[in-house]
Amino acid sequence: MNFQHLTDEQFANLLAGDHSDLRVRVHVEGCAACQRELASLGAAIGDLNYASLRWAEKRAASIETPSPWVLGWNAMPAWGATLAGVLMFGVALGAHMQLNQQNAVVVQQAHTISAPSDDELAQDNSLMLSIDNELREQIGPQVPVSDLDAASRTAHRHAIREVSN
Amino acid sequence: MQYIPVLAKSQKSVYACMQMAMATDILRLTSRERALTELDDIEDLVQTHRARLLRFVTFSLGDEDLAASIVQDCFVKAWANRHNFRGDCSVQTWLHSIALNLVRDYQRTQKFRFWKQVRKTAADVTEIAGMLPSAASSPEEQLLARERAREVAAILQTLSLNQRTAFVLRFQEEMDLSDIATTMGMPINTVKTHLHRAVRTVRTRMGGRR
Repeated sequence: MNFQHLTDEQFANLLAGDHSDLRVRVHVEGCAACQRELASLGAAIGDLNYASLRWAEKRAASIETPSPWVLGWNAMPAWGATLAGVLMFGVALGAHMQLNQQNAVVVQQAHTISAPSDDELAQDNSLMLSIDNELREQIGPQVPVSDLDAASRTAHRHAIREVSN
Repeated sequence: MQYIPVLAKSQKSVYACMQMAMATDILRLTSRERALTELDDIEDLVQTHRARLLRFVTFSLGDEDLAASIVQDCFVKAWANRHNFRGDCSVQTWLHSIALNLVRDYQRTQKFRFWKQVRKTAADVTEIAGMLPSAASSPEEQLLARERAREVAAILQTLSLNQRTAFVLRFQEEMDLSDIATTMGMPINTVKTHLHRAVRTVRTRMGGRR
């Protein structure tokens, strides 16, 4: 009988179900310790395999089939993904530049309002003159206040207040 | 006069070799086409392989949430690259090699190192061992079996990634050594070395090795 116990390689082969080595088979048949060890570890690994597969089957139910969108995106070749990326960047850049231009126009318009043109100034002046004339007509001829008596001064003040209101 | 039969004989053997090579090529093409059909049906592919892949990645990383995410990525990658599948190995082996590459990529990241320290969703080996059937044997035997399974699972977590992968692929996925070598992208002798070291550690820690 061979009392050289099983090496790790021989043990691994037996655990994996490879019984082709005659010398190993003869040794195991005559060695109770190796038989016991082989049976014990084989059972432990078998139990672990069974239990872990049942556990994985239960947990794997949460793993769903990837959506067509995800599959399509990942199936795209690298140059396609790069092209799509460049296009998206270009569109985003274009949109950003357009927005900047619009903002510039608004700012320019604000500046135009603060500095009116000659025509606008002339229109404003004529409007102011017409208002002045209307006021003058409502109040009557301008007499120096020092020339008015007390009653006339009061009437003059009332007239101005009414116009201004 | 003797020259002609010799030539004829060698020609015959050449023809036989050519026929064998053609038959091998045809077989490979057929298996590739069959595999491509299998890979095209993503729903069926997920249903068939998700449990085994989840178990493999969970044992590799020790984190079940992360494993589920990696398995999902594995299917996406396999489907996107299905036309690159050469048919040299089975679909299962190919999927496992993709999953293993994803595991290796993830293990290199800082994020993994951080979560490895926190281990909020670490796979519970007691829970896994608790999935053993309880009908066939006595309560004592069931308890012993669960304890043994839990112990092996715990020892596997202490092995290096290569040793653990070789052990899991050999004894859980029941792959032969050449398939393990393909999956791990290593020569067979290197795979054997990792496997035997893993077996040595398990034997020693289980109290069997003398």
